[in-house]
Amino acid sequence: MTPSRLRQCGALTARLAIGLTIGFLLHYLLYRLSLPVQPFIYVAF
Amino acid sequence: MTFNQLKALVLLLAIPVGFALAVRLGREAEGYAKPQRFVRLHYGISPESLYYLPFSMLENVALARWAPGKTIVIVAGNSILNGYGQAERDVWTLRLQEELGDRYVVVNLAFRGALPYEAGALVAESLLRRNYPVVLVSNTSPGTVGRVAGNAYGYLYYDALYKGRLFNHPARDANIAEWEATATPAVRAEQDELRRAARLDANLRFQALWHHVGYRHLFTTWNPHTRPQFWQARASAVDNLPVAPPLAERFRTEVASELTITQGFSVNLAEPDGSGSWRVLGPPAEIVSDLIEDMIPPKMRRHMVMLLTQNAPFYRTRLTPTELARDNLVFSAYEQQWRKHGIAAHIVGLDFTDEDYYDRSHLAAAGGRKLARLTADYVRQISPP
Repeated sequence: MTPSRLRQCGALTARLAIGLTIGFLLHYLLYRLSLPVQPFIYVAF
Repeated sequence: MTFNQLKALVLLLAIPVGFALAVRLGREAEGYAKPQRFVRLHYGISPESLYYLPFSMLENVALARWAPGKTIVIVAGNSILNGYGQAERDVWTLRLQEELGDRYVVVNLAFRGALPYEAGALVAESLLRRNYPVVLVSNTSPGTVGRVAGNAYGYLYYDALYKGRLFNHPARDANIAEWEATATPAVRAEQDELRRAARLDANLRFQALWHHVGYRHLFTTWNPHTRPQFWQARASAVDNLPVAPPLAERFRTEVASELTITQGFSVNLAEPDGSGSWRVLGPPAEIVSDLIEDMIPPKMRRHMVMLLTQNAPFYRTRLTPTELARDNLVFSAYEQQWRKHGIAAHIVGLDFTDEDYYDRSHLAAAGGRKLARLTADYVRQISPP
């Protein structure tokens, strides 16, 4: 494989990794948005 | 296609692929994710520290212990049954397991501040719906039933509902709809949001995956309970719920306000009958009756033990004779109220001593042992060994 081909493969792999990560982050974002701003506060009584 | 266009295409295609992969992992996590060496829901694995366990995690805790031939005893209810006041090694449900033996598996899913038929109770409903042998043990005070939705743990109801875990019980749906119709716009908006999140999660399974990650690897949200190392995996969180101090140090603060609360257990539930005694007030009893009927599916009721947990003698002995008579009447009347709906109800704590209590309502280790012995009998009456 020539150096330029290697660079192209590397660039595509990097885009793939970034894309997958963004997909995971969007999924994480759904979880994060579902959390309340304040935790539940239990007062013993 | 130019190389730059190809790079953009790879990036754009990888985003939904990554998202789909996360959904797939979430579905898998839903099948196995659960707290390890589970004893009870302590602060590190509870909503107090922003850890809103998904319904599946609670189910997995119970199912991981079950084997054919065993009955699952789900302990729901509030902080009293959670074991608040007992060290982790002394939690009363460990004693209950010893009392009941290997034919039963006891799982403590009581949440601090939960209503009698909420949160952990819905796990029992889900398991019964799937034909597992189940006994649900929960607790309450006279006059308290509440709804499965609208409280701190209402998110678990929607989680279970939209994943098809619960019995079809139209009265419950109608009651919640009616309550919402008269609620404030803020409450309605909150319920709408919870429902949207639960519907979305039923398809995309983000709660299971990221709670699993938070438990096993890394927690991503700051909160006061887990500072300064909020990022630590919740698997490493220790159970640091309060433990009863020596007897001489108990019942020393806020005696007057605790006494008022003790009086409050019956003050609005009975009225003088004109002959120096008391009679139970009709309207609150009717509300309780309606809520039991609406919230608890009939199929669940004969699998339930409802404990009406009494206050510590330190406070009860400070009631006037008249107040004490009212308290006794109200507890007995509401015990009968639950029984009328086919639910085994028992008053507990009347013969306990101050040594058995951590504070007005919570039990110390000694009280936990007594409660375990009593509850074991009640469980065996419902599901003989």
